[in-house]
Amino acid sequence: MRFPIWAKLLSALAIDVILLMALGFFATHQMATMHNRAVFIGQHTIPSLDTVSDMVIAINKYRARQLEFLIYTNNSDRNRILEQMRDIEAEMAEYFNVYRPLIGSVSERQKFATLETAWQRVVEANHERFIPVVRLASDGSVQPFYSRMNPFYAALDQAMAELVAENQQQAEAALDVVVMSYETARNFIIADTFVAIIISVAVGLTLSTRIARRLRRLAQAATRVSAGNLVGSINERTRDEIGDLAQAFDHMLASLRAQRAALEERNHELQLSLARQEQLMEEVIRGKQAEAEAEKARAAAEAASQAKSAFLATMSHELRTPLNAILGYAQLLHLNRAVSDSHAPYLERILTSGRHLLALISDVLDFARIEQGALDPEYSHVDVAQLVEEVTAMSLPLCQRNHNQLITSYPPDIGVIETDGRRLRQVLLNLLSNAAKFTDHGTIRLEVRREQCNGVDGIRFTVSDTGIGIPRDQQHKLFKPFSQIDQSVTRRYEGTGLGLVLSKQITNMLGGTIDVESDAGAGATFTVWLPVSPADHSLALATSPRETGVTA
Amino acid sequence: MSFILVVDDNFDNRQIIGQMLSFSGFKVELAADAYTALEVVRQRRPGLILMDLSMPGIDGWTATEYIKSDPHSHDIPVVAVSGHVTRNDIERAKRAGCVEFLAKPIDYEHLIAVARRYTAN
Repeated sequence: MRFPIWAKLLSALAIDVILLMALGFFATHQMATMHNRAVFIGQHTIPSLDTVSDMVIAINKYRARQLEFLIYTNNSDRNRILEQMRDIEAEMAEYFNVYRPLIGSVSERQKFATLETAWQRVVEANHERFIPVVRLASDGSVQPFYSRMNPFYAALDQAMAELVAENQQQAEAALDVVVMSYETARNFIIADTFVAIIISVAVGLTLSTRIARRLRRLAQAATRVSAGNLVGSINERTRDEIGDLAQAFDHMLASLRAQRAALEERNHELQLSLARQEQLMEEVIRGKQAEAEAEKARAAAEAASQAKSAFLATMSHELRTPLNAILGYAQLLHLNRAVSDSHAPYLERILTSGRHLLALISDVLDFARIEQGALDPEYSHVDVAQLVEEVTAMSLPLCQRNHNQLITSYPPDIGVIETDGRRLRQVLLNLLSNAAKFTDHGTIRLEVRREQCNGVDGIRFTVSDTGIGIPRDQQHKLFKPFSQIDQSVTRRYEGTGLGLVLSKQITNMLGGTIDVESDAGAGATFTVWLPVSPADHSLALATSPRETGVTA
Repeated sequence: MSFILVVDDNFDNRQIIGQMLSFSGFKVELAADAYTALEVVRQRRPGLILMDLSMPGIDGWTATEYIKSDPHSHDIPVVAVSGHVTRNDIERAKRAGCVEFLAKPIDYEHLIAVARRYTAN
């Protein structure tokens, strides 16, 4: 059930209203009573007393006429007096008629009847005794006749007095009632007002206190909320305007809590996002730092690489200059036959060692250049037949030194290859010189033929010998720097130890492959395959990267 | 009879090349720098010049360009002699006007063959 405050106030006021209404009714009632009594006195008692008073006068006149009747003795006067008596009797009858409706009580009626009877007796006595007697007497002794009327008049007076007393009593009773009513009404009004005041004050105090208390709770809650404390609720169950307010407040609180929670969540998300951003920023900065460091490192590496190249170029020049002098003077000594025959071999050793040292320097320089990618292939169209002939001519003296036979074979339509001719020549010379060095009284073959590798046109150069061969377990060392199979070999067979490594590097650089097939004592076969053109080389790389890797 | 001018800042190289050519019967004049060489070219007109490329002061390329731009000397063959072996160096030498390139160390027989080829007429 819902009791709005106005309803409560109204219900509280209703008590007062009822009290006031009761007061009104009661007062009205009391006033009506007083009115009745006053009206009674005005309309009943006063006319009654007036009538009685008139009657008294009429009776006295009647008595006076009797006396006149005694006094006057002639008939005309007596008849006139008798006439007057009859007028008075009619007057009296009229008074009785006037009085009869004014009768207010049984006792009054009885007294009225007694009065009427007493009057009738007076009239009867007058007409039946007094007048006939007086008429008969006709002497002056009237006193006894007049005295005989006294008891009738005494009874009449008695009845009259009683009726007057009755009327006075009634008037007094009415007055008493008026006074009582007034006092009752006054008391009631005082009591009623007092009670109304008390009830009003009590109800007002109670209601205002309760409302104030509830409003205070709301105000405290509002203060709490404004201070940021969103915990709890008012929990007001009373269903009125304040209850509505409290509920709305609770709703607002809940909504605020939800909003704050949402805000906090959002804030949390924002903080996370911020942290992420910061992290990202840090990463970016770190990345930039790393980039800068990498750039620095790259620049340093490049600088180092350039310094290395410059160093190598300088060293190669600086090493060659004295070596050139040594070789030159040795040649001059040889030309001039300036040393005795017994010392000629020494001169020969100087020349040989010098040339070896020179080759070593060249190989090291090439090796370093290829290692750092400083050596770019210089492509040109190379006539394969011509190249093979040149290489054969250059290798022939070396082959013949160990009594070897050199056999070269290639198809007449072998054609042209687009490659770095100088480097290819270097590789083939190296392979042939190795074959010549490690073969004695044997055969060295250089076979050239066209051959596709993974669909790419190429040319295969095969250098085989019948020499000492290479044990299988040693073959993996072949293409590694400074790893001639054993040191004694190096001593016996002069070489830089870099020849095969360089050959491998060069063939790789030119997009080709190099392979070895050998066994201890069974000779060795080195195979070099190169693409016909560098474009095919890149194609071969793209289609079959595995094949471009050299298997040593 | 015309002579061969050997230009090299390195004493040993001058001696070796000069001695090798002398041994084979050529008349030789030596110059330790490009100034001296240019002086000799202007005054005595050699039949062949063997020009070292890398020299302090005026280098071999510049000296060759100078010789080749002078109408008095532009028909004298110049053979570059150098320890430099890069393709770029050789290209530069050819652009400057060298007819041949001899790599160090000098091989006696190769030297004599080149010398004979350019002094034949």
